[in-house]
Amino acid sequence: MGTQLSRRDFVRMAPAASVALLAACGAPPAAAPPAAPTAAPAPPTTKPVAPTPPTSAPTVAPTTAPKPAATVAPTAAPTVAVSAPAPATYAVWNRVPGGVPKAGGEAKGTFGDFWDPQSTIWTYAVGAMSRKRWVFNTLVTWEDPTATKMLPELAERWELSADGKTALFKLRKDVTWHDGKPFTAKDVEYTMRAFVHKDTGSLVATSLKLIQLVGGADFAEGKADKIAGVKVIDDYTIELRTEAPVYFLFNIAMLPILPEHVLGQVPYKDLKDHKFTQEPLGTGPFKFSRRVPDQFVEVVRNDNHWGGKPYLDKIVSVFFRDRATAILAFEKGEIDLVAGAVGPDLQRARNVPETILLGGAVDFPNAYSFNHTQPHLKDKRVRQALMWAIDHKAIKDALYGDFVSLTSSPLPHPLWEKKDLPNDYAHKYDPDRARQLLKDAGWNPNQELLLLYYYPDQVTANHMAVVQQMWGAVGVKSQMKLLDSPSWIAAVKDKNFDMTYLGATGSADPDLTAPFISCDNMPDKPTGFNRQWYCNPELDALFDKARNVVNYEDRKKVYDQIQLFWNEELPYAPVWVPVRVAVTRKRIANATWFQDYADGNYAQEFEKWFLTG
Amino acid sequence: MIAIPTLWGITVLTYAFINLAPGDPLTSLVLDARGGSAQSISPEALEQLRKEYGLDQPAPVRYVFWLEELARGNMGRRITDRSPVADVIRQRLGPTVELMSAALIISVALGIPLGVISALKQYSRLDYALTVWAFVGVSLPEFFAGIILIYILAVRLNWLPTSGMMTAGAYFSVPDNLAHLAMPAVVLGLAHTSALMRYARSSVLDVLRQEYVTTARAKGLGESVVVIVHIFRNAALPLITVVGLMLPRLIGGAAIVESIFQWPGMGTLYLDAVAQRDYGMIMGLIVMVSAAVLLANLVADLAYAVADPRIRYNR
Repeated sequence: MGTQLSRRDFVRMAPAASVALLAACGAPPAAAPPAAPTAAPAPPTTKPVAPTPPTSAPTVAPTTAPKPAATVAPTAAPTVAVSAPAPATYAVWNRVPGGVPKAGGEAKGTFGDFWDPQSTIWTYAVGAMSRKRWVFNTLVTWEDPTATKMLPELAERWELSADGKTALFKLRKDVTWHDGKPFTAKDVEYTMRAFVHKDTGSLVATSLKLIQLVGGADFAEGKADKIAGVKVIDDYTIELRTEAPVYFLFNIAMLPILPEHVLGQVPYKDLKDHKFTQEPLGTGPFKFSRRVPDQFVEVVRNDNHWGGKPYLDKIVSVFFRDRATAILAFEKGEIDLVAGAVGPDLQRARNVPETILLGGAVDFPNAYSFNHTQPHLKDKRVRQALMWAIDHKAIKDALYGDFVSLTSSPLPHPLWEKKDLPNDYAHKYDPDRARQLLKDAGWNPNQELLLLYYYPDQVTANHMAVVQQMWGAVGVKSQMKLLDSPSWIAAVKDKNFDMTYLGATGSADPDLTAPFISCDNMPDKPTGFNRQWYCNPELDALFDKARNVVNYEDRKKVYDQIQLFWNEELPYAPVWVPVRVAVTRKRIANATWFQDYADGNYAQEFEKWFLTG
Repeated sequence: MIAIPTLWGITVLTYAFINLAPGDPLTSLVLDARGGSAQSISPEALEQLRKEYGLDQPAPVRYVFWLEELARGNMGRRITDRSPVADVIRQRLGPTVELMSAALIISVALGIPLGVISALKQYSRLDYALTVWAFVGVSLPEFFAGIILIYILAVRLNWLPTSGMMTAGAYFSVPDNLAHLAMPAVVLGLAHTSALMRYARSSVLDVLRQEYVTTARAKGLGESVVVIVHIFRNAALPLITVVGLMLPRLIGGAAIVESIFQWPGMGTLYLDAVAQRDYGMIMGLIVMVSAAVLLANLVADLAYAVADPRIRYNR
């Protein structure tokens, strides 16, 4: 396959590389939903988002939703022509048709989690790419969450071997670092070494699977001077060989390329304290300017940007701890963009003149999860009844509005979601059926359920109170308890719960859901993402099968089977996917906000943003 | 000298308690405090971190190790971004002292005189008005007062910036900084004013009934001399205790107000550290704040000596 590998190709390849997938499961590649940055804190909308499970990350997701017709690439193989599932009423882009871009001005906003150069580069926060993209570039990138293509960035083209394990990158020749020095293949080679060496202490090596470059482990341990799988062919050509084919390019798309001429002589162990981590220097459209700790980070226009001179003079990322204050600052005009606003705050922001919302649904559902080691929850009729007893739509309408989108599917990505599931409890409310099922299962009315949740906001608290009441109405007693996250994880590990309300996993690659319910990932293991203590070899076998099917249509059939099985068994019960939005103003033309598991790790083209007035 | 064993005792207790709390620092990386999935982090990476932070060792061993490092002046690194704990604390110290001292000055400057006036004019309309105001001040939650102030003064009237220590993207200037300081300092200051006012009032009322006050008046002293020399001087003693106890807040910070006004203080730092079970950061803060409390007690004791000749050391 030639240069631009479409995501569909990946979907196709994925099964082949099942082994890699498996490996990856544990740790979703970085792409993961990183700290749900933006959205983080927030309640409703946002919150859910979080794939809680750690890892969750969906990862790599090659693809997020397919673009509507147009983009569905003609040639692409398995036809995944899924009509875009209009995830929500929000646009991702604030395109200004026919607008003539104007240079100048600045954009201020809270761009998700605070942009901390240090943690961004050296530790595990590989997800905060939307901010890193101001300063850094990657070799390749994604078009956008609804697109099917990988786009060139520092690499103008690339070739991937048939087995997906060797990639040859041809680099752009017109790229310079912010200090004017030319960018070459040496920088790429250095970047790999810097992240992989164990003295650096960067978690990027494992989370982006760089350690799986051929010879990566030996180099990390100091047994080799170079990484065998990284070969500089000439100044503008570099070859990477890996043991982990499937995620390879996606991981590379997350990796900021570092300047060898600045850092090359610094011992790996001193990198994390080097002033570069406070004052990063890259090849991106904006140059790092200033950082006032806990206040803001400022980047300024890079006039020599290889992709063209950016329109905005500067971008300021302002740190807000309190979302309500951020909305007030937006209303007052101090900032122009608030990512992750939710609930009442969002309603308030909507009423500010000239405001628009950008964003859309994500791929991972919120779910009620069960502790399958509890004898009283063993009967699937009980689990079903508990879901039929809740009026999910009423809760959505009353508490979350259009910031969640109902689904009963555990694989809600538009490529894979099975509609019209038999137990479509998310859309239908049937307390009589719940009562009947409970009766059939011989439910003991004195049994009290302990439900744990970890979203500290008031909306979730109200939500839980409603659920408690609805369960009460069908004769199920319950107690809802809020725990902080570490306590929640500990309780799950100790099996001290009946149910939880959580952000589940999800991705464009449904195989990444497997570790969250497979028998191999019980919470007492290091990879313990199976928070429900659910083990059913039959379901595991279905996931194994799907993993090895190459063709999209055939693969989809297996996943349909999985969803039917799941819908009956309810390892955990998905109810909706969150819709994540950012509040911004119409005058910020070309503004984008992608809230996906990869946290905006797409071509957001900050150089094209401009002010219309 | 008792201070050092006390401080040591505090660290032992704190260490024990934080280790009793469920979860460890790494779980917060996996699942962040706000319920989001923190990071994509592989099991291998977790193991690597666990070793790096010594979390594979039992708690007592870790404590001894921590104490050794502390003795060498090393507080370790925090888990979230691996910055040195001492650096993080140093960074927050200035803003915290700025905010808290502004608040303390407001509360002392308003609270004590108003309390004294309130006592001298006991049962007057002024006294009632001030009493009501004090109760409102005590009862109004800081987060509520904060948001209301932002809405009125910043959004509606456009007099002040909403939050932060300085205008984002601007360069530091004193007027800009003071404009940002005004609201959080007033919110905190007024809350403490109410308390001080009540203390001052009751303290002065106690003294008013003393015989030496009557004596002073009887010997024909002017009212201002009576109030300042005889009443206030004696009434000040308990106030010194109260203000002394407030001193540690200078570096302890105030989480809620910091959070609303986006003021980078110790309070929010501590809150985050606890939510993330960031042992190193928690211990660093505890040592700092405990030392401050002990120091404040010392300062209060010395102030007594100045204010009260009876406990002055006689040569």
